[in-house]
Amino acid sequence: MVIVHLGSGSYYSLSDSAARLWQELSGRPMGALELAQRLSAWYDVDADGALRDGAQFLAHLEREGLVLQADMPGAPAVPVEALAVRPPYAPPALSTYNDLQELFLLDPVHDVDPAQGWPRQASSPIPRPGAVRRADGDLLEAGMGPTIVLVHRDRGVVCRLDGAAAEAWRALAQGPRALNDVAILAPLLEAGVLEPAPSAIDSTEPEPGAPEVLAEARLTISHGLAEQIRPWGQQRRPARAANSEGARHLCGRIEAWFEAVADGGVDQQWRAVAGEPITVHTPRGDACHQLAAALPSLPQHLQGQPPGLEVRAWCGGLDRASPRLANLMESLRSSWRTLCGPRGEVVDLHTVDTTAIFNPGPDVLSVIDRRGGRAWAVKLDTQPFPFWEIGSPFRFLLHDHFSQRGLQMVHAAAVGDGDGAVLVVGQGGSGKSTTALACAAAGLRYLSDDYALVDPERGLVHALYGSGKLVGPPDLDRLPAYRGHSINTDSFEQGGSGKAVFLIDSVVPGALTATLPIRAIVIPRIDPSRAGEALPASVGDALEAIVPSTLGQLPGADRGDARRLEHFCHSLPVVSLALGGDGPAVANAVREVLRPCS
Amino acid sequence: MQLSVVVPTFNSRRFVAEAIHSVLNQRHLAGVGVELEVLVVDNGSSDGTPELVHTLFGSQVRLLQAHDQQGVFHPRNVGVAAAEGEWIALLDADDLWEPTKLERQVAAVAQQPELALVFCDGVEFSDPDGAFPSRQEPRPFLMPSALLARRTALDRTGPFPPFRAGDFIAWFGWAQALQLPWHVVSETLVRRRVHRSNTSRDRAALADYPLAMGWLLNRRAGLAPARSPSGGPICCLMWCWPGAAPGPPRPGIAGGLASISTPWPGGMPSCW
Repeated sequence: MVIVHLGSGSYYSLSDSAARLWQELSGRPMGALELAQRLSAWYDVDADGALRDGAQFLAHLEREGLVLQADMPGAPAVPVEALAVRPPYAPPALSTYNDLQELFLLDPVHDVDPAQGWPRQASSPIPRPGAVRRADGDLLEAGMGPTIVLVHRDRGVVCRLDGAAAEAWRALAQGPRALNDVAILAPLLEAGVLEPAPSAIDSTEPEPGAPEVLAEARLTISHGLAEQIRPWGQQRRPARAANSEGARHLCGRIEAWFEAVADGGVDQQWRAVAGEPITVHTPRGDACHQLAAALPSLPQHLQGQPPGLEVRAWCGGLDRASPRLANLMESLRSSWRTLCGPRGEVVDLHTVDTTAIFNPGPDVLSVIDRRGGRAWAVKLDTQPFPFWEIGSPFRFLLHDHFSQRGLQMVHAAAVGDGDGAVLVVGQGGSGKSTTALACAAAGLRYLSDDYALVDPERGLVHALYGSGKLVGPPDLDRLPAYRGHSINTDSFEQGGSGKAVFLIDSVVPGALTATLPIRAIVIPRIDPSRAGEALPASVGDALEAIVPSTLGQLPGADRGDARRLEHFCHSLPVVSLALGGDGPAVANAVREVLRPCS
Repeated sequence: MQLSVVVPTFNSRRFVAEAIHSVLNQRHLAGVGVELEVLVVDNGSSDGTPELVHTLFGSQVRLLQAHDQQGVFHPRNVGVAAAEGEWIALLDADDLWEPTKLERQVAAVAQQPELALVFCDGVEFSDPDGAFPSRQEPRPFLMPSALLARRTALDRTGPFPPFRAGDFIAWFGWAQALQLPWHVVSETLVRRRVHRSNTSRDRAALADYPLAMGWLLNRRAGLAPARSPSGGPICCLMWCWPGAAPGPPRPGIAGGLASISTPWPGGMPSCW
């Protein structure tokens, strides 16, 4: 037998008789007399010799710190039956090895609390190190009930806290907390949503254990958002300047630039979202005019009303901009990090009245003048807009514009029947687009894909993007109605490497519907063996499916967005829907969800 | 001289880039004729560690896969087996080297060519800062991330024994038993990260400490591994929790012990 004392770093080997006595000691306190009785029952040794050796062995164990004096009287001796044939006796012997003490003591495990494990120290010192909510940083939270979702955009981290974990987070709103419930606080420290408290905290809380509390806690931390968030900066998020005079002057220069680019004439297209006309202006004959295609067309009853937002869009033409503006644009392309906040907020244009987001990569600058009801989207190179800009154009502008009106852009698709709609939510690749396109092809109404525009107060969803995207040829095999209809030149259908973008109105005329009440939030899961099975899901699941990707991909999202998403998730039933099989099967599954609700 | 660095990884996405950078940033090696080979051995990560390493470092590292083994000993052994260097250094994916780590150790070997194993001093740091108890004063680091070993020495000791805890300690005990000359460079050249996931050994892993020491004692005694021909254990192993405070002393009977108790809470662990 070998014993390792992790406290001292010593290890021991025990002779046969010593090992047997050691095992006896495990059950209850024992004295030397009892050990001796056992020795003389098991081995060929007389009572005196056994008592002498037993006492010596016990003393040796105690010197090595392997046993302690018990704080209780010794139990009455239990008689031991002697073996009929007793093997030869050798006194119980303990060999001590100290040669590797140094290595054992280097191991962090040596000073842990036996019940809690690393990193809790054995001696539970008071005061303890504490943690506090991170004061700076781009941290948003949503959730009212047992679940809270935290989105830490500086790190691309998402934390879902359930039960006691959510309670611990709420308690941290009051100030620093001691690192008692290490199981909850340590991962949050690691995720960067907490930071170490400036000073130690005198902990009077009951010793942590509260294992029953921790058992109810659930904590999920994901780093997946890092890949979705663009751009990616480490600077502080800039505050909006109260004085917008300079910014609006800059907007005037941008407008002059557009006029110079469009000196050959302007194509003006009328669209409407949430009952509000929107115009899209592009230089005559410019390919950018395709950007308006995904927005819902202007219904008759809105004709003649002034637009709530005018958007100018164009590509390139830097040589037509004023020298100072051209210089600024070149600086944005070459060193946006110095001119922008962490989400691409152009600092010079970040005021109470104006917002500008630069998206490096595609190099698209989106600028909105809230007071003037005008916006500009310019691609600083002359490459065509990529498929995602054609499928879901002007996201940053529309998000800014409609959040001023209390409407919320939600990363979701929306489909429905005559009475109501469901929002199909989930991370990219979870089947939102395919579900929505399948539903439209099968006769359901279509409101939006990628992003839907929700009125959380009234429980409505408005058509936003009447487009849909498919990833590759197998999708077209399942949804043949869309074959040959993609509109983007970088589509796989047209020999490109991008997704194929479809306009619903050109494939299923009449399917696009302006507004419907929301009946449910649907979280699709791919499970062909249970296709069509709808299971109730929690508000927490909805928050987890909606909040991170919406807040992560909309650079202008702030606490207001978090509040609206939270409110909206708590007001609707949530369903987990198993998908699989062909398009009609998917549509039938969605119909089933709509039916009991409508 | 070729020097191989073996970096075992397991779900190390958060740290591994920093660790490998600290290897690739080793200074003044070419000047003393050292050619570096970096082997990253992934033990079946589910967090995309190997993909990240491939993306970030490409052909600067050799990426190997090890699977289905508990404990870091396995990828270490896989890496050592594949390493081509005359000298082999180890670095755990969550620890960091100072830029002069190898330079100083190689210099020590140049001064004492008989050395087989070279360690160095190191410090611990908490990640996140201040969250975990960490020992910040330099101390001799007799641990994998500090080791530079002669290939022939590793051939003599054989692979790191298959235990989830105590494997390196037992291996080093065996290296000492073989009287391999070793030395500690007394400069702080390694920084060990104390964080939540590297140290959360469960009780089952703790139980491997005495198994590892049993392995060592058997080796030292020149015995076969700790199994009898019938397959049953021939040595029964036990570990002991630290830190239980002694109870108040009680008057003894006739100068001896009145009674005793075993020093761990929650009863005696089971016996192997």
